[in-house]
Amino acid sequence: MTTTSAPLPPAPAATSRRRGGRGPGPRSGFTPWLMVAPLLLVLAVVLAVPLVRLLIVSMQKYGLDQLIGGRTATFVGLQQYGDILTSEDFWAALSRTVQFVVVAVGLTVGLGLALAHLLAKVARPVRTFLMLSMVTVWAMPPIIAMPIWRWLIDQRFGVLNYVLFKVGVLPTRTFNWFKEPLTGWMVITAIVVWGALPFVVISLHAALTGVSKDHVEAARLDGAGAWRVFRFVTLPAIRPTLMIVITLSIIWDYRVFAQIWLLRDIGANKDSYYTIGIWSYVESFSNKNFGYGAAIALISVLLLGVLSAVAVRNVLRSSDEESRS
Amino acid sequence: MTLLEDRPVTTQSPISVPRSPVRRRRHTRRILAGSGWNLLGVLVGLVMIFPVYWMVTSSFKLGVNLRRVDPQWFPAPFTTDSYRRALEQPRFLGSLLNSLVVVGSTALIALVIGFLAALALARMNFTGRKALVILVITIQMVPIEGLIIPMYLMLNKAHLTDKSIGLILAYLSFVLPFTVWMLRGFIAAVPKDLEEAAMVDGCTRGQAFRRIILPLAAPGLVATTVFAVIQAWNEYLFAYVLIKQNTNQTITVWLDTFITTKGVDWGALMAASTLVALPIVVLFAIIQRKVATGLTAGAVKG
Repeated sequence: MTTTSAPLPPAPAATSRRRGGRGPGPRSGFTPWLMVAPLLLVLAVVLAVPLVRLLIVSMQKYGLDQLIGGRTATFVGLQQYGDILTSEDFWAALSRTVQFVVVAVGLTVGLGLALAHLLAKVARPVRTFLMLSMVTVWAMPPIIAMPIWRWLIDQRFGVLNYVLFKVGVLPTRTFNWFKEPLTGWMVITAIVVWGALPFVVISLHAALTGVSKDHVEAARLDGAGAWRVFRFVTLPAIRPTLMIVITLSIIWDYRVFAQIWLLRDIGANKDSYYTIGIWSYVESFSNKNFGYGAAIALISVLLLGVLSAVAVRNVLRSSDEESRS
Repeated sequence: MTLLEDRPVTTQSPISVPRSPVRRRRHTRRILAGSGWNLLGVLVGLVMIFPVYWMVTSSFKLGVNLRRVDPQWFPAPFTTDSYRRALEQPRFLGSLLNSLVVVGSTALIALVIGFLAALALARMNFTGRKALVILVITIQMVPIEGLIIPMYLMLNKAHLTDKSIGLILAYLSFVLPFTVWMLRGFIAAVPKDLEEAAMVDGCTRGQAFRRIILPLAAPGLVATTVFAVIQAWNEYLFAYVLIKQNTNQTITVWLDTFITTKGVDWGALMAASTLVALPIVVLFAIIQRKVATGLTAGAVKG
C-alpha cells in the first residue's frame, strides 16, 4: 500500500501536498490508478470498443453474409451516410422524432410545473396522497406500462375506452387507438408522459420549496399578480432545476424505444411509428442491414450529442457548486 | 395565517380594526380556494395512480368480471386464480430466475468496480482525476441503444449471445457509469475531517476507510445498489436483441411475448405484471427510507 509519505518526485509533490486545502488529499502515487483500472478496463470493453466498431460498421456493407457467412465486409466509406441524409425516410423519421419529443417534453414539463405548484397549494394529507401516488407510478418498471395501457385501451374491455365513451369523447367503445397514427401517438405520448411526470413533479416541487417566501411576499406587496410573481421571482429561482429537468426529459424522450416498439404492433401502418431509433433497429435487426443501421445509429448519437453536451455542462456546474459550498 | 388573525386582537393599532372584516372575507375565500385545490389534488392523484390500481385489481378478478361490458371497479369476488395461471405459464419462473442472475451479477460487479473507482475519484489526488470525472459524466450521456448493433455483432462473434454473461457485459455499459457517479457523491459527502482525525489518532488509511468511510457511506451504497438493480431489472432492448432463445430470456421480454400470443389472458398478464413490478416497488420503498435516514440522521454529527 502506498502511504501518504511515499517518496515522490520531491519538488512538485511538496507543492501539491495541501494538507488543509480543498483538494482530495495528498498525491497517492499509483494506488488511485490501480483502483480505477478495473473501471477503465470494463468501460473500454463495453463502451469504447463498441463505439469504434459502430463507426467502422457504419462505413461497411454488413449483412447476413458477414454475420453468419463470415465473409469480409466491403468498405464503402461515407456512402451510407449520404444515402441516409438524402433519403425521405430519414427526414420523415427525424421530423416524427422531433415532433414527439417536443410534444412529450412540453406536456411533461408543463404539467410538471402545474402539479408542482398544486403540491405546494394543497393541504398536508392531500400532498401525502399525491406524493404517494407519484412515487408509486415512478416505481413502476416502464415495461409494465405497456401491458397496463394495452389493457386500459383494449378494444372490447378497456376501461379507458369505456370512460371516454361514456363522457362522449370517443364515438364508440370499441375504438381502435392504433388504427390512425395520430391517436396511436396520443397513447404512446400519454404513456411516456405518465411515466415521466413523477420525477419532474418531485424535482420541481423540491426546487419550488426552496424559493424564498419573503421574495414572493415582497413581490405580492409590490402589486405583482400571480403570473408576474412566477415570471420574475419563482422562475429565476427554479431555473437551474428546470433546465436540468428539461434537458433530461429531452434526452429520455428522444431515446424512447420500447413504448413505441411494443405498441405499434397493435395497428396497421407500422411505418408511421418509425422514429430514428426504431428505424435504425428495423434496418439492422429486421432487414439485417447492419451497416446501414449503424450509420443511422451514429447519426442519432451525434444528434443527441449536442444536447448531451449541454446537459453535461449543467451537471458539472451544479456539482462544482456543491463542492464549493 | 393564524398570526394575521390574531393581530387585530393583540395590537392596539387603530387601522387594524376596520381592516379585519376584509381579512376575514379573504380568509374564507382562501379556505374555499384551498378546498378547490385540494379537490383537484385528490383528483390528479387518483388519475395518476389509476393505471396501477387497475393492474392490481384486475389481477384479483374473476375471468368473467374482466370481460364485463360495464367495468367492475372493485374485485369482488376476490380471487388469486390469475396468479396461479401466471405462475403456470411456460418459462415464467425460468425467466424470473434468468433476470435474477443477470441483475444480481451486474449489480455486484458494478458495485465492486464502481466503489474502488469512486473511492479514488472522491478521496485521492492524482493527475487525470478531473478528466476521469468528466469522462464518467459524459459516458452517462451516451445513448447506449446506439451501441446495440456493434455489441450484438461482437457478442455474436464471441459466441456470447444467448448467454447471461453477454447480457451482464452489456448491462455494465449503462449501470457502471452511474454507479461510479453516485458512489463518488456519497463518499465525497463523508466529511474529510473525520477521516483525517481518525488518522491523526493513529488509524491507518485502511482502518480509517473501514471505520469511517464505509459505515457513513453505507446508506449511499445501499441506494446505489438498489438503483443498479432497478435499472438492470427494467431493461428491455438489450435482452430483446441479445437473447434469442426463450429459455434464456429475462422477465421483461417474457412479459412481451406473453402479450403477443393469441388471445390475451388479461387476468394472468396483470398478475404477472404485478409480480414483476413488486420487487421494484419494494426496493423503491426501501431506498426512500434508507436514503432519508442516511442523509438526514445525525450519524455525522455524533
